[in-house]
Amino acid sequence: MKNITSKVLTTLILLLLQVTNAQVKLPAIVSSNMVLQRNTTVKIWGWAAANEQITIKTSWSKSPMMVEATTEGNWMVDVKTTNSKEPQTITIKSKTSDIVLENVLFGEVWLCSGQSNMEMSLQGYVGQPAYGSSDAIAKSNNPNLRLFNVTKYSGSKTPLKDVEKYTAWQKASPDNVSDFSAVAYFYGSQLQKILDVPVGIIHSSWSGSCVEAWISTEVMSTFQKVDLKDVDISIKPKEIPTVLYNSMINPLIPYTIKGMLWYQGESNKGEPEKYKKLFPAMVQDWRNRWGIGNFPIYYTQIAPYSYEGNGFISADKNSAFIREAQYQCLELIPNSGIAITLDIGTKNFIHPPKKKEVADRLLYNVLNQTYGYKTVDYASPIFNSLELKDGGLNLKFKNASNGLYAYEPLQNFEIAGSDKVFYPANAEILDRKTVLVTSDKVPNPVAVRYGWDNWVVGTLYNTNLLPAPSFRTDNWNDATKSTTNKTP
Amino acid sequence: MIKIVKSILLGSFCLLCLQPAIAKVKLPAIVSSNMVLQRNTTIKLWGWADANEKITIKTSWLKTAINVQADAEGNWIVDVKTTDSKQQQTIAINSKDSDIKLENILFGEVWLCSGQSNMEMPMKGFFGQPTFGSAEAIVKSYNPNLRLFNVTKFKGSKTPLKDLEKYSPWQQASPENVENFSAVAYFFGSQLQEILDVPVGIINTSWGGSSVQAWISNEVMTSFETVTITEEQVQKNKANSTPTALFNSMINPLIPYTIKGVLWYQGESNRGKPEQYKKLFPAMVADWRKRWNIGDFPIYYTQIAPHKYDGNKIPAGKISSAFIREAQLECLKLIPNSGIAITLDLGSKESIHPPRKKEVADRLLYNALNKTYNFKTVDYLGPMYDAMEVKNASVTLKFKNAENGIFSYDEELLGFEIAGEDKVFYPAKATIEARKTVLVKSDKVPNPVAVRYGWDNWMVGSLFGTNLLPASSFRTDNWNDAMSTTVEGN
Repeated sequence: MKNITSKVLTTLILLLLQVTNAQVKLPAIVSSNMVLQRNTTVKIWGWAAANEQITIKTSWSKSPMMVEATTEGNWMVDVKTTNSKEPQTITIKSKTSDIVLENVLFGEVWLCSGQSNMEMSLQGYVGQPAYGSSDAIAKSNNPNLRLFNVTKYSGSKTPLKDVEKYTAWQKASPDNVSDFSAVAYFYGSQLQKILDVPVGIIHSSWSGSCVEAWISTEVMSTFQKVDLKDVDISIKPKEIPTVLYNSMINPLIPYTIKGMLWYQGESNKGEPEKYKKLFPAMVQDWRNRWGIGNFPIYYTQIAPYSYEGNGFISADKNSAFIREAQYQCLELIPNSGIAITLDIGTKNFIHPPKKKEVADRLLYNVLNQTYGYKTVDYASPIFNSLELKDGGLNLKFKNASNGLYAYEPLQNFEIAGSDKVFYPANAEILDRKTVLVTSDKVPNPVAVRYGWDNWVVGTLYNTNLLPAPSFRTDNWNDATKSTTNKTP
Repeated sequence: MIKIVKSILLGSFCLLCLQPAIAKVKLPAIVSSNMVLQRNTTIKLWGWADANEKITIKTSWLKTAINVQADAEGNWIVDVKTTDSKQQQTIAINSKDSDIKLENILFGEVWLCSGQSNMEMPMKGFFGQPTFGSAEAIVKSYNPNLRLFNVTKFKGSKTPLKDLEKYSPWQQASPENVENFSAVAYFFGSQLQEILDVPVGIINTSWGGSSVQAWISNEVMTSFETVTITEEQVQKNKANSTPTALFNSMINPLIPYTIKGVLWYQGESNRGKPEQYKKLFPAMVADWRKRWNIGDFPIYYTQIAPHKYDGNKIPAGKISSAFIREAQLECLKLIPNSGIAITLDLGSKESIHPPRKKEVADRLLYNALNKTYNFKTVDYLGPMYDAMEVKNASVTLKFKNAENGIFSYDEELLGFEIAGEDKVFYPAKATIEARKTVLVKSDKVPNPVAVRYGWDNWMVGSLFGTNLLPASSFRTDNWNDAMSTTVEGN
């Protein structure tokens, strides 16, 4: 019954928006106070009466643009932006409309999406703080940082043209940042300061969402049948394929973005192999629809957390496997980067309080790979090869040309022989470059695992203090753990 | 002895110079070039001149000059409206024989900072007692929009002085002067300046080891006790513990310089008498407010931090500093328009001067931002004990100001004790339940009736709100005859 009401309402809104409304209508994302991606050609679009003539004047170009709505009442124009730092205005006129968009800036526009760890605001969740947020909120006034938030409101069975509920573009201030994504805010405010240009952050995420919810029907259908006819999407839309793409991403396309940040994966942790297909497919899906090339995506590897406890060996119960899948996605997704968080998990919260560190590591990716800051390191040490040495295995790493580092003795290493039984191992950094892993229990070792459990604290870094992800040197599906708990 | 005589002579000489006989217009130390005048209000300018002298005051921001005539004692005072201009202003004060020009004046937010050694403690720290973060802060302190005025810890006075005897005049914050300036006051002021993006003026007037009685006027102090003080008691080595002595020499000369509010960090010297403090401290605030006569300006004060003092597990009959912390918390309700910064997590065992002064300043700042400057999303309150419920041999504690839950950095909460009707407290296990309440129990106390948290001289606070502001130490009882034991349960 509710469903019918909301359908009627939606239809009514769509009718108002498109067909019968003579006034020119803009999508929520195109408004006063927005940030338009600078130095490029952006899209401005909206709706009007069929065949309506629309004139668009901007404060930065001399000649106005004319566009005619289609017979369906859609219109869209390409607009060139510059690198001016001055507030701009856009006037949109038709026979019956006179819209003025004010205080528009040119800058860098980033879309931030994912599940609860992206959604988590500066004020935190109940009993789960975001460290550093008090100071950040108090000092957040910044007319050159603009925030747009898509409200976690509902899913949709079909792609929506406009977002249903949102907080419109506004300047960052203590009033609005406390409810805004902590990762997105820490990222955006630092990017703004570093580049010294306006920055616009669009946040669109939903706690507990699986990646399937963020993929379009066309793409999702290549993996599984998508039939939502009899599905009640008012219950847990976060778990229903396509519905968040439809309600929270489609309405933002084709608003020109520089790139996107993504922090999701906890809800897909039981199926790492599937995630390796779905997540790259989602990225490709979004890129195809935006039509602005392979814009960069920087994403966060999920952090250690106790989940159902430690000691699980299989991929469905041990989140080390989804972390591995996320790392492997780097090679499957062109123009992507990853923030490793093996050192900043929390045992009892799935929501680590160190959101600033997450944002920092995403930022380092962006600065180096998107903005050409070549001295800003972003890459964590990555296992590369191993060799037998002194009865143990000596591990070599990529992204460690300046050496390896540990604040405290290395922990969470395991070692196995050809029987595939893993024993807790001693691990030490040799010559500041390699890690020697040994155990008396395994005289003829062939494989090493590091941080291969739900809850661990990462101890291995490179000299730029970026942590190594958990890794394994094997690809066994039938390994076991020794019952020995302590290293002899 | 010679020193004393010398300084008495010097003092008398100054007073002579200042008031009766001089022909020139004279200004109090606090009214000078480089000062910050409270913006968007009506402030006072005052001074001294010949009896009935006519004085003309011209300001760079007002079209018409202000004329005032000194009274028969040579005192003059004027009301001057300020604006929210961020430009540098000037004031010219002219009389028959005077031509004073005050330059580089700013309109901004003016805060008075007072108290004992923890307010006094400079950025460079006390001997062997650092201020964390000060090296970087000093290096980066240059700021023409932050102005500092420091009242020197020089001596007390038996009677209210009209002007300061010794001080560092208003100057722009810079590495040269910041290192000797109050760390709490500097960290507060520099951040307030950055956040509001307007000029800020900070007046520091504090004295290590001072009791609250020293900061109260004779009129108010005599309502509590007879005040008779000798010249010896106002000398440098005694002034801080002499009732009224510092009010007279270090506060009275600043009145009526318009301030936005006061920060206060004091209480260690009064820790032996918490009940008395609950009377004196609110009386001091009322005293100052009455004399300033600009309404109930806000006062934000710091609860003293844990420190070992005479050791933990104070025997019956002696009072641990948990009681003065409690008294300070209770003053919140006794003082209108006040706020408190809790520091239960910031103490240091071996030094009465915690090095984390920035955190103290932050928490005072959050009070000021929310309550004085209307930053409604800046939290300033930690969780406060509200109610308890006994169930299955354990106590569940509920908290106010914890709508967004409570938090602990470590899994187990520390510093909880529990007692039955025998009023003997045992160390207790305490855990956060459902991110909202605290469950306290000990198998030594099967029928608990009361809980205490952090109820000792030295401890480290472990209970926070999700905003990472700590809970104060608290007790659910009001017993005067409780005992404490270190016997742990299983």
